[in-house]
Amino acid sequence: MIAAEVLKLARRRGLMWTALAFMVGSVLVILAVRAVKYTPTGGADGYTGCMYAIISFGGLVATAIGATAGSQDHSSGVFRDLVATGVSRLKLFTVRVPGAMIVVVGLVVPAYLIAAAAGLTLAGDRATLSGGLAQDDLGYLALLFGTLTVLGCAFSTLAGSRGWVIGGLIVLEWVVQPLLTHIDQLGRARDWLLGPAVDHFAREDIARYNDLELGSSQAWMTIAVWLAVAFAIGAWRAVTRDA
Amino acid sequence: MAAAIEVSGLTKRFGSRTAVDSLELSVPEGCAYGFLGPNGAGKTTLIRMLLGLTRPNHGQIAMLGLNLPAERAAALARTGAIVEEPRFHNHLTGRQNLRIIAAARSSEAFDRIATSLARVGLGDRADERVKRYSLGMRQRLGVARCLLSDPGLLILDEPSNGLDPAGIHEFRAMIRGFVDEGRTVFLSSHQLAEVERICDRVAIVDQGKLIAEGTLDELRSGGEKLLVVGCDDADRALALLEGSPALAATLLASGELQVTLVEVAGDNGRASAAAVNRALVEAGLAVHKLEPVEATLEQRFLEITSRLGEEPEPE
Repeated sequence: MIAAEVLKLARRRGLMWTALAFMVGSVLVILAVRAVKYTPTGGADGYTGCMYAIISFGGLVATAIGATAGSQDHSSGVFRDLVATGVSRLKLFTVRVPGAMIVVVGLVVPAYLIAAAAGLTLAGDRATLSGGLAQDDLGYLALLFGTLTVLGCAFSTLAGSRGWVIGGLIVLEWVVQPLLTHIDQLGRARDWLLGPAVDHFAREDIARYNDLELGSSQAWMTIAVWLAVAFAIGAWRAVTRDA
Repeated sequence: MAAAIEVSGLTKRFGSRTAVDSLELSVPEGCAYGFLGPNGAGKTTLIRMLLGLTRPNHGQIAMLGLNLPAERAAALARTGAIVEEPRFHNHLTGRQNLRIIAAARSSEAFDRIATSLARVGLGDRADERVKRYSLGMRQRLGVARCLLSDPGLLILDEPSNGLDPAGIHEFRAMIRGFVDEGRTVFLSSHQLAEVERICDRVAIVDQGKLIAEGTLDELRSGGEKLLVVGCDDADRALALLEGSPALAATLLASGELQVTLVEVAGDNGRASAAAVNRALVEAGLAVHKLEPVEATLEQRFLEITSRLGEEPEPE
């Protein structure tokens, strides 16, 4: 069933080509700009520049793919036919998440490989990309895109459509949370913001939130609560919705 | 005969409106069963409850001998269904859409994709995207999707919508083919003439209640018994028959009379027809035609649902 989810997403040619163009195109633009204005084009510095683009556009892509995965059976009217096969509604919801994640990985990997290739070459006399740095960044990207995919999938299952969910999550991720982190009166309540919790696991050069001091256990707890609540909401809606 | 569908005391309310009201229904195995009713009669709501798409407020359902909801997964694994118009992922091909459903069923379902497509005549169009399909092709693909489970029971909601006359003819043969293979076909439709041609038994529902059920002959014979009378003086015959309180006669545009017969002790109006003939002959009229009117399912449907004179509307 996960393969079926991948098929449904991967055959959306418009979405796939647009996402791939954003991912690969943004990295190529960064490298092109660096080739003209900065030295070196690649190496660890060029790689880090590419990571900004991958994080920004990858976040958008993960949100869009997750939201599409969560809503496409409902919006196409096929959900009732899937329910009528006798397979559990919870399973129908659950398989959407890994299916969407596989597609997101497929879209992010080409862009990352270009960034990594530039990081290993084109370094001039500066440092090249190290294995440890790549490992840390890959872990962070998996966490960031994984959480956004789950949120997109769960909330679009709740809403039954993807448009508002994609817009809402973009506003939450890139507008609301950055604002909230700067409101000191919120005190420790800010520990429960998802963005800073995920960025706790990013190196300082690429982290979007460097203002909050979080412990690792608190960061994991915050991520776990967001994922659990989102998953529970999506599963509840899939199970209770009139198909 | 065992029941493919057994429904008892089934009730579904939407707010203050009762869509299905204490419905009792038994669909025998191995037949084509027509399920008829006017708009809002509760047909689609019943189908949605059978398939677990919406929950009943009260009542019991058993399909293929399995109780719902406890054994729903097992029952649905042997059931194929089209609910309202068949819907698909339009950006996928017909074959890919079947793969989506096969993935939710069993590994055997994948092996049935090619044969299912061939059976509904879509073998050579299976790799086109569904958004290019006509409504008739979508209906066929919906039937192919049903066949993935090698179903003992097919539940089809208005399946011949959008088919051209040749398609309807093929569809009719296909349904009868399913029945000949021992499958049960539960067919909800507005197309009464089609139901009359395809189905062995029929149920008529109105306002959520079962109001008639039986074989086509049983249903057709249950209404008014009409007789068309031809004689040499229709006006005089009309005056003569209007004097009989038990008979209602009307003059037809053809110059013949239509007489509503009285049924006595289940004689199908025979005694009444003989009385009409006797009265006319004794009055010196030359009777050259006494022809019983065969009621169609449509006439009976309109009589039963109190909508005589109204055109059946598409749902």
